[in-house]
Amino acid sequence: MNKNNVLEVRNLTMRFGGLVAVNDLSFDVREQEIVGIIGPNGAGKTTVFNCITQFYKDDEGEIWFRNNDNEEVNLNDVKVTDVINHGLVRTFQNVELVRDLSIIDNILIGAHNQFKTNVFQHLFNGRGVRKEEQALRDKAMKILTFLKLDHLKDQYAYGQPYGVLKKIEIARTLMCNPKVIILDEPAAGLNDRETDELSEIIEQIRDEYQCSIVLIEHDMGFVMDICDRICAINFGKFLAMDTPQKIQSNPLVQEAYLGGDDDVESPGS
Amino acid sequence: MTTIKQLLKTNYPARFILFGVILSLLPIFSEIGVLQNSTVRLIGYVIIFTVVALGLNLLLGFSGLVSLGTAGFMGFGAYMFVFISTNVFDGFLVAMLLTLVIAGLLGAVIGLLSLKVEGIYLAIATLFIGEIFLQIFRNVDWFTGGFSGMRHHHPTFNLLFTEITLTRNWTYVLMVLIMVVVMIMMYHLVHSRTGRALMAMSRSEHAAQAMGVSILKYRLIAFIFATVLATLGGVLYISYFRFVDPSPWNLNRSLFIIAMVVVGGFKSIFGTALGAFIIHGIPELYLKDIFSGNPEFSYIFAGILIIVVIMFYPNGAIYVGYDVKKLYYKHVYPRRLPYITLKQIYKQNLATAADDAKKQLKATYKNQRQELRSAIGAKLEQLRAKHQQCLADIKATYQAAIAAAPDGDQTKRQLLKKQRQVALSECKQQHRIDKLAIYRNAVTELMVIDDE
Repeated sequence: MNKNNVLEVRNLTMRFGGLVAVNDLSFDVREQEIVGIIGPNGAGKTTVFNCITQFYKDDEGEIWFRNNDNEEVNLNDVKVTDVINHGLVRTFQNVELVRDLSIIDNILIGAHNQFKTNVFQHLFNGRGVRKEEQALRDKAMKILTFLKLDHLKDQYAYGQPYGVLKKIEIARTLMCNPKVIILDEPAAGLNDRETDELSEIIEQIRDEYQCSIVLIEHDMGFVMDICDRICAINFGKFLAMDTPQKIQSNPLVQEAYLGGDDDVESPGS
Repeated sequence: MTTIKQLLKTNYPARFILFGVILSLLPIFSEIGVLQNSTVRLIGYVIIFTVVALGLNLLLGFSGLVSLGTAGFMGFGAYMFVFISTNVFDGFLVAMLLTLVIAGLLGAVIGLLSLKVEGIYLAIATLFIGEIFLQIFRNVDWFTGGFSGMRHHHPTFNLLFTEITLTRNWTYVLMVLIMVVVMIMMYHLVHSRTGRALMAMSRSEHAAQAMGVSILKYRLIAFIFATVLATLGGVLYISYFRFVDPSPWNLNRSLFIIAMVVVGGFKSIFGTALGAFIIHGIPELYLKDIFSGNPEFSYIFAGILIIVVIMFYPNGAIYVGYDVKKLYYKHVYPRRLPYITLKQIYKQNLATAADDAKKQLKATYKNQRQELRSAIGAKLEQLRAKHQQCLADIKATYQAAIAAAPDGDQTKRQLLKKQRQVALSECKQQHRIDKLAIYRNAVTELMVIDDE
């Protein structure tokens, strides 16, 4: 693994029956970098994320990750519930929160593996349990203050505006001292003001928590604005990976988005 | 008294203890003849159901899993307890613990099963587990005594030199104690990491896994907890009623326990107790008396009651309390506010006053309250008179206008009538606002006086 890289995806291939969703894809993410993954609908972006976080077991390829202890791990050897322990955490395309829990409790779910007490101790709620709960609650409170959500902490997640829900999901990822945060369409469903706020937050997170961020997004303005590098894929195949300006002028990417010359038909014909 | 109040506010589990203390006083009432013995027995049954339904609530409300075999596990607990008491060791605690451990193992097996079958299929699988238990109770004579059932005695505790067997009423108190312990444990469990993980698992399995929640582990926990509590209910049943036969442990009973959770309130501990009372207590306690001529009607009404509760309180009957509170704050609280403020000021003064001045203060407080009441009353009377005048004026004006309109001009008459209606409702609206202003002004006046 390259010394500057935290995440290296090598020759990733994922097939669903006859459909090749991801085809021999390779890319890398450096320390404290914001990487965007773009591609038309059905290009296999979310599948890549699901492979990295081990929801899907890939057919071929390796996913190397430099974890919190500076060890290199192949994530393919890690169970889906252990991925978070190494410092890789994700959000979901459709917000996946517990609607009937308060916001702060939702965030504490992100710290699930940092609790050391077990069920029997929870039944009796001894001093150790209370102390641990308080410590993590303070940590969650700090994150909420950082994201300016502290005034909402005891409200239910149910009924909050979409922008707040997206922020709660991001706050939940911060609970686990992340090395890499994977955001699946963070700006989908947000208005312009909320999108601006989000890009600010993402940059703040990168600086404050010193982590890398990988995101899928369809809002090109947002992606071009915030990302250090962009990886473009189409039909599961790697097209290009470069800075936003170069990606914009890349002919392959233009073709993927606008269609090639030969199969463009004018509306009249 | 104030310390108890403070404790109840800051420490939620203290409420369970208070609840338990109140419940455990019931046998005293039956001893002095206020309550019937059968009523205490019925409440005892409700307590058993509460323990069982709490376990099911963890499964249904928190973990989103379903079990239709609850009654089977209750029966299993009762028979197993008798079996262990007669064959292994005749002491309540030891036999109970052994029974619960075996139940926990069974629960783990069902938890593993639940990984393979989901949703409605899980319901069917657990339904037949309950059915298997029922057939065992009926047919395996050496274990269950078949249709003639099994007898047992009230709980026995083997102390160092002596042996104590509880009476019926002490058994009841023991059941209340166990219920309170279960309630407190459940409260702690659902407000801990475990409770959050269970909820995360039921609402979104993927998100839970991404956060490191192992689905296997938490399904096992949910099923073990539910099974152990159902079995504990069976142990309490045999200890209290001293007799068990196969007839109660059918699907009907399982569905009733689910109804207790649904009607009482998902995710609410007191709600579960309320649900157990509504489903089991109310039909037996009240409806049977009302329909004493033909008691079968009581069950119809119980069914209707349950449907009504589900229609209007889909989250559970426990939320009736919140609605009552809301109504109070909307309609009653503004009117009471002047008196409440006065009382607060009085209490503040009382706290700082010297001992000998306290009597004086109390007298003035009473006077002040009387004055306040009459002052507000007078103002309201005035306002009412003004309001009546306002209504009468409007009516008179429009009466004249309508009379003045030419007979044939129906549209004009309609218009005038409509205008009159609007004017009247405006007047009423104003009256309402003025009334609230009187209360508000009274409060401000009180505050100003207090500041001086």
